[in-house]
Amino acid sequence: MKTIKYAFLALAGIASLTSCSDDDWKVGSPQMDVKTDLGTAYFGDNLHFTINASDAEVPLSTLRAQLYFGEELVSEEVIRTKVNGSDYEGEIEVPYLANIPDGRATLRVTLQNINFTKSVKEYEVKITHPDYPNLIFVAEDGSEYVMEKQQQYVYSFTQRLPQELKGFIKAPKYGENGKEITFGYESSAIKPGAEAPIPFSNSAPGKYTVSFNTFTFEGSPFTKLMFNDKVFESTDDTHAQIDLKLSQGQTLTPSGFPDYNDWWIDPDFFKKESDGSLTFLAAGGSYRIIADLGMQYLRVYTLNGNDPATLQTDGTGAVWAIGSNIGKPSVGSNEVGWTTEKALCLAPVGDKKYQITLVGGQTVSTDAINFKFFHQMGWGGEFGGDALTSTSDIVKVGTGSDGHDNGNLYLADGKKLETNHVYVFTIDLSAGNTAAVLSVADMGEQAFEEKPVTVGGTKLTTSDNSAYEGIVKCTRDATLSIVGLSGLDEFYADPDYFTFDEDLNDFKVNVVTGDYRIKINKVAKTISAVMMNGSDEATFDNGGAIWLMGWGVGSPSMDSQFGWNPGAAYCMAQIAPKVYQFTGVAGPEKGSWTGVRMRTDYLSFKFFMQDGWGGEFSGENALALTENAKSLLKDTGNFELADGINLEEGATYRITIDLTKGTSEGTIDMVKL
Amino acid sequence: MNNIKIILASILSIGSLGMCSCDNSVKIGPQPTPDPVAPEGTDVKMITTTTNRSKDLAVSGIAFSTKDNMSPTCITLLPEEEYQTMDGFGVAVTGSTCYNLLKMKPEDRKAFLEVTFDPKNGYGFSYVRISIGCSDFSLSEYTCCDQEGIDNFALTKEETDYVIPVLKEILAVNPSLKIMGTPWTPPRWMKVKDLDSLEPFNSWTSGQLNPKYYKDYGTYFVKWVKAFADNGIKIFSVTPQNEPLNRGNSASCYMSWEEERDFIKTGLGPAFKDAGLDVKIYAFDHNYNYDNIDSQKGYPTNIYADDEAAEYLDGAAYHNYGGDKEELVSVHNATPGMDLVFTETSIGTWNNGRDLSARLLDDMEQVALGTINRWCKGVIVWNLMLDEDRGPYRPGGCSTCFGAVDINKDYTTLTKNSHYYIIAHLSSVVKPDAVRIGTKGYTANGLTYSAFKNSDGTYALVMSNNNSMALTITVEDGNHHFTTTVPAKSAVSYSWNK
Repeated sequence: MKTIKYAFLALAGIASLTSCSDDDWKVGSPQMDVKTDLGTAYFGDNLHFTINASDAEVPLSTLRAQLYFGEELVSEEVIRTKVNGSDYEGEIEVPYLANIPDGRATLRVTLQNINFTKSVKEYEVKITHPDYPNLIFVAEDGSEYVMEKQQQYVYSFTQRLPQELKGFIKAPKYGENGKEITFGYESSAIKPGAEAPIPFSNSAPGKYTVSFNTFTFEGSPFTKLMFNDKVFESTDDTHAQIDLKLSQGQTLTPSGFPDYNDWWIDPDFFKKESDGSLTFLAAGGSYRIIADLGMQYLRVYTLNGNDPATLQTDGTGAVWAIGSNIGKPSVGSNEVGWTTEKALCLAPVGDKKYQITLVGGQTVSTDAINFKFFHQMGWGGEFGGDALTSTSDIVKVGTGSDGHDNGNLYLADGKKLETNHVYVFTIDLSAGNTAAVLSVADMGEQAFEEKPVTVGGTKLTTSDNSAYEGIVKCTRDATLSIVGLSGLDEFYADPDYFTFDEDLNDFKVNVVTGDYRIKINKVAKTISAVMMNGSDEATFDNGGAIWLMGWGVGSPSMDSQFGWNPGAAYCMAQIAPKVYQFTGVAGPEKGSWTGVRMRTDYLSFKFFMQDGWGGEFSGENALALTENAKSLLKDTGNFELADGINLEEGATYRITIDLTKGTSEGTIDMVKL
Repeated sequence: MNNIKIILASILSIGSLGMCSCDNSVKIGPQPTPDPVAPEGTDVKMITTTTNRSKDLAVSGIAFSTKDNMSPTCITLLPEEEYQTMDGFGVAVTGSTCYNLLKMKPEDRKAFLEVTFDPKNGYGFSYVRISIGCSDFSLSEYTCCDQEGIDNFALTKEETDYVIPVLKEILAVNPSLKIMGTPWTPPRWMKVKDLDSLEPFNSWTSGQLNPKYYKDYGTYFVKWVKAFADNGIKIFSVTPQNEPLNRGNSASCYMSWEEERDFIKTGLGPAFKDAGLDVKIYAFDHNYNYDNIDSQKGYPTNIYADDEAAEYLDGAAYHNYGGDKEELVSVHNATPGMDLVFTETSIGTWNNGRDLSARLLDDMEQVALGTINRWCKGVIVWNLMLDEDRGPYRPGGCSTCFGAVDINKDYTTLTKNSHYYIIAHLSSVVKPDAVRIGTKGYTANGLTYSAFKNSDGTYALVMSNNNSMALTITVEDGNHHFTTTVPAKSAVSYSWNK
């Protein structure tokens, strides 16, 4: 009741107040004269208007411009209208929002006087999307990429790029009322005006396309490697990792993995199901899973907290394998060696047992092994010969006094592992860490599921689906088709031998017609060639081949310098009869990249008549430096950089040997291209 | 003077709002009947309930927009993107519910049932669940065959005097009502203490079904279905056991998935087949988390793996007293050919069950829209009606449950709780055989929705807005679009002709 009383009192008061001013009350008549053509606009415009506002009787209060998309108010501008009869200028933003079709919006203009009398006018404004000629992507490092228009609304650029590319998109001013608009990242979406960089990411570094749609605001790529709904975190251009608590039998559904069907699946940790999902096989616990995008496999190891697990005194934890002749996904592509960072974690299978499954010729050498087990991913505790015994008659444990290093595994005399046989190495610690028992079970032959690669119709051979080679008949200027390799744009083909065609399905032969051994490494993503004479590598006398050895030269990068290593010499590309060529980018010895085949600061090489020592181009067959070459090289017995000369980093140089005038009249040329 | 009028109107309006918020109960009498079509001059029928009841299943209309649809907050229906076909939405018509309904004056009960079940002039509740024998909301513990020997099967007084009369009244209002039957316990003479000892277990609670009675128990189901058919009541579906992993309650029976599998493939399934009964069988009928029993994880999918058992099954039923509704997605993805229905959830003292501001939107998100958006073909909540003392209930059963509607002991005053609203919001616009369809476009935190196409040529959209501010949304179906304001903290339903 109290409330009601107060309400009536308030009403009475208001009524008495208003009754006093009834005689002076004027409604007024606000008048507007819109002096601007408001018929069309672009999304993102600031729509200018000029309106003359007047009211002959009552002072004006405000001029309000409201823009409606359909029935929804999307923008508003309010102007105080103090002077009767004046022109008022204002501008109202036409929002640029995602997925809004071109259409007729409504601009409602309301002029109101101080007695709340209003005059309202509505205008239909036809709004369309800006048709930008191109956009600019500005990367975090400031470099800019022109995004060409591909079709209406769709802009893109294609470049060799790192796996992650952050930046924003800049759209130029468009139309009379337009303005430059930047698109950044906000709330996991690309939005105009947002400031945070857009985190484009590809599944792997290399050549890929970044695109953006000015209608939907959708961009790509945003590839995320995922297991179920868990996202891997990128650690560098070719690696991403995730830490998971896993239980035995748990199903993991991978997504975002490029060429997933080509990935090698570690049989100790996963079983690949027919739908592509992975069933986790090891004992439950915490694991780190590292996706190696280069080698296309998942490395798995046990965790203790955030660190690689170590073996505990009670036999729980982890056991690691380090040494020669083993490697995952193949010993050929990724031998562990004595590089502790590459240690393989054995899969815990419960009851203090740990296992590693190795396949002869694939993940373990068949004719010799030399690795041992450790308590951690590194040096420290290890299983010496006094702590580990083997029940196998093939695999033995060295004692240090039996001609084999202490704790190192070796093959018993006269024994070999069988190619393609599956061997399960199990360490049983149930009797204690110093009474470990190694058993090796031969699970029989595992049919090797070859993933064939053909070049020019010739099927290359492989034993591990990573290294392929075969002798292919090559015809100068002919095209060789490549079948069985995906992501060819990421491969480096020796540019002196081959040139990829534009669609990256074939390459053109640059060398003289003949037989060549073509080698393809799917892991390193390289394609190289060697001239052949029948089934043997060609020599100068038998096939006309010239070989390059030395330092400061290498292929495909300075990480693989030829050195003075017979068997690792480079077969010069004979691009015309008796004309040989070697082309490369100059770069640093350390931290070089694919294509850097010469050092900027040091060269010392010479040419041979075979892949190794023997006949060479010296003495009566010495190569004369051309005038061009003299500006870069000197002949000291080896060819070295001329005094005071450094090659320009990033520039491409070509070395050419010309024997067309005879072997004893040969010249060597070197030019910067 | 204009100003005075405005102020007066405002004060009166505030006063009426205040009165509404003080008293949620409704004197039974003429019930508000929702208009089956959009109000004259409009195109879209909108039903709104706010958590403060300022709008209480309030019907309003919206006209299609004639302006270009440039809405930045547009939800576009995708009629070609089809998901599950809906069976219906409703409540459990327990013995307690029937007892309370029959305490009402016949004319009051008729009015209430018409508003609730009439598919044209009411909210059109379309699917109910009843117990086969007793439940924990019965008037006693019993089965339809308490004397040993399956030939002793007979309906009891609770069916003949309570459940069947009420069902007949409901069917008179909604002849296409779907009915699901579920036993809480087999006859005690069929129960054993465990499957190892096979020791007789003469208790309504716990125990297990003796495998030697699988065939007899299948016959029990057949006799029950036929007995209801003899009374003009068609049974649409059954589950073999309510909450098979729950050994508690006033009546229960533990039934592992292995037992349910064997019962279905050797008892229930063949019995239905031999009797020529077209009755759907849904496995499990229990919680998302399988009561955290490791061996029972994936209960229904384990049964589906047995081809013989799977042959008789239409899908699985779930409750939400444990676990998360995402399990529905997992089960669907694992076995997309099998159906899912949501068959029980309750409000009670433990979840502020009578506080609409606490329950309405959570129940919309978790139950109504939450299960439908995860493949459920039907949504059934627990008791339709309990009394103000949460009864009648059985000792050992739920003494803290509220009904979808609570009725005062004078049987003239009732209060609608959240479960009534969520079912009404679904069933009033989404008709049986509607197909859930896809949508694209606007999403927002706190905004949940599902879209449907009805077989009568209408579209339906049901939404909940859990935000403290209203949302302006445009709905586009490809031919028409309209703009609506979804009030803060509200559930809304829309229907319109294609």
